[in-house]
Amino acid sequence: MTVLARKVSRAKWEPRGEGDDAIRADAVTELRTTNDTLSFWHCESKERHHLERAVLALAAANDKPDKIDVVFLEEAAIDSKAIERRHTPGDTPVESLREHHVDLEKLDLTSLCSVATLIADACRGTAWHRVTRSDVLNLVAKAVSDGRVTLEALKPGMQEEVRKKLQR
Amino acid sequence: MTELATGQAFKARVDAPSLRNDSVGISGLAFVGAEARYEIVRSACHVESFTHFIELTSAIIPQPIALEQRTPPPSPPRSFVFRFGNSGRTAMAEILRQLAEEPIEDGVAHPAEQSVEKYLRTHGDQHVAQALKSLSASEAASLARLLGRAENVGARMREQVLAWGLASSSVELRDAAIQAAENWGDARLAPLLRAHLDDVPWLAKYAADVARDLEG
Repeated sequence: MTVLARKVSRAKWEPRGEGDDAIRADAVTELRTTNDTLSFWHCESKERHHLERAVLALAAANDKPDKIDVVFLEEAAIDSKAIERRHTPGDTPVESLREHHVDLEKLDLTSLCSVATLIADACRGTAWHRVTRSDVLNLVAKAVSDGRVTLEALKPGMQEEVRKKLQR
Repeated sequence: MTELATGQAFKARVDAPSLRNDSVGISGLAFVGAEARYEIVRSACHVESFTHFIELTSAIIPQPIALEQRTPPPSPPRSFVFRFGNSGRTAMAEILRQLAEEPIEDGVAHPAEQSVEKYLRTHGDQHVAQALKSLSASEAASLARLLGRAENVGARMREQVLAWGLASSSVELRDAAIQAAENWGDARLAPLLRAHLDDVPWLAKYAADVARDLEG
């Protein structure tokens, strides 16, 4: 089953309290659209190595190796909301992963609410994953070691930390 | 000596600016003659050197706190009350404005990072806790995450920010405090994380994972 992955901040999607399932308005600020599109990474399955590919694409594009929360939405669920999607080149220095990028497009308030609901459900279930700072560094450093991305292609803050990691 | 548990709160009036509240796990900052609310942020801490808490004006805890002088009070840092002047407030207000304008995002540099470094270089870190406590949980979480990216936060303040954050009822703030500890990479914070038992399972796991990473 194919899934679409997106970076979130998990804590913002936590319900306010027991019995309160509402999605906090602060969470919705994470769904800032550009040209009515929202960026996701395509994963062929929920298998760890496929999910890690999305995490690498996201982490390698970052300024610094902070922890990352990634939520995974089933493509079928997106389809059931009649939301259009299109493969577009992803913004990541890992060239081999760029083609795995997907934009949800022609979003409006109704479809954005549907996406928010899917993300909230995923976060409150098990369809999300937190990658700690240390694991982010390991993942990017391994990609550099394996020649999947060059150190120079990383942003300065990430580059410095990965260089330190590789020298240890 | 009175044993206090995490979360207990009391009000007190302080008679000297020499309070070293973070050393025994009590939150709040002291101003001479001003009444303030204090909260116990580290579990089972012992009040034993707080001769400065001279007047418990509204004890919320069930029994009065008996204060005894067990150790000589530390010499007062004379500049304590005055250092956080108008320029400090203005600088902090600017940081908060930048945070409000653009939410902080994991992995992405934030324009307020430079303002925080400048603030810490100019004013030190001793008023950071006071600033955090004056904010809403969500704002404090943003500021804590920003502080986690700063180099000039001293060991004592790191511990205070983490302890205070972990004691919060806000998931977002607890998460931010743990993330700050993770980014500081300070192994001395690991025991606080180990001792923290979060009722949110994923947050409990995060605290344990970060403690493990900090311990190397």
